[in-house]
Amino acid sequence: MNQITQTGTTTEEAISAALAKLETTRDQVTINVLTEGKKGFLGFGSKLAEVQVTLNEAPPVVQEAETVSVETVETPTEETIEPLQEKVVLKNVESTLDEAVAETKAYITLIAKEMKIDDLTIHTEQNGKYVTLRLESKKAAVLIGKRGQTLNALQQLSQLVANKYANQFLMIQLDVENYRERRQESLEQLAERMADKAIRTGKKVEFEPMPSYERKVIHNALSRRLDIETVSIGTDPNRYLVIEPLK
Amino acid sequence: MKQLIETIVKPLVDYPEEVRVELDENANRIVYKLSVHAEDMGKVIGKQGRVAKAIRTIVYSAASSHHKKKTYVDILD
Repeated sequence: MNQITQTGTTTEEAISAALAKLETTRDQVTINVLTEGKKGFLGFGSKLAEVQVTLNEAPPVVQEAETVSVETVETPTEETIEPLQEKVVLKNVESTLDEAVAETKAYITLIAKEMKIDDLTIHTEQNGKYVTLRLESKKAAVLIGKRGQTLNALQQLSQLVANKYANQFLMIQLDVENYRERRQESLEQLAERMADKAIRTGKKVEFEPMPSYERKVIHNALSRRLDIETVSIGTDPNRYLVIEPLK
Repeated sequence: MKQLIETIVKPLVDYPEEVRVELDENANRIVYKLSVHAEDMGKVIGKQGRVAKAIRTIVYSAASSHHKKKTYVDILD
């Protein structure tokens, strides 16, 4: 593929690093800025700039260049390389992971564009194998869908794409305008209401099918209540939660 | 819409160049027929049809804002 995604402290820096990687010049590529970098304050809130650079037409040197530079890292050579190259090499150490995240971002951005969402911005947070992508757009409702359906579908597909590029297993979580947090709150409220209903009627209360992490929120919310028991029944994707009152 | 399906599917498969989407439209419905390389069938369907379901969810939500007709996505083997 004659296309790479590159991060850097500024857009300018990312572009020049990408050009160095592709061993080409600016007039031979198409540059697409994915995220604008932010300086931040005292290191807080700083964000890396991200650009996608596509070679207009040239030999595919990307793959080769990358494997070579990774090898250079593993063999600790004392010989000094050109400063510019050194920079590229350093960036490549964490590149498979960054690349996976970048590819995922590009994937989401492309899909969003097809859904007529042009103002999408993505912030990444990473904690071990958990990668949280926070999306922002004016048309957030389209991205979330009914009860988060669209968002969950997009999350699932993003996870597949991310793991296609990463050499280590990644868990992708997508969030739009704090939807997950709001959903968690409403699930907890729902859980309490349903638990009360189970006690009041003395009968089992069944939920509609939900994805695993939403069931987990309910199990967790009700784990401290001693008057009821929660169990999940059925197989995914139709697995649902049941609250049983204890006598 | 065709473009959307291709955008979703291509990065998931091993043979992106063999991804084909055909359109079958009549008075009251639109069917997008997706075909991929035989080895990629499992990838676009997924365990318990999970991936297929995700693809449909996204296409349907995009389609409903596009046109009024009922839209379907079929995966051909």
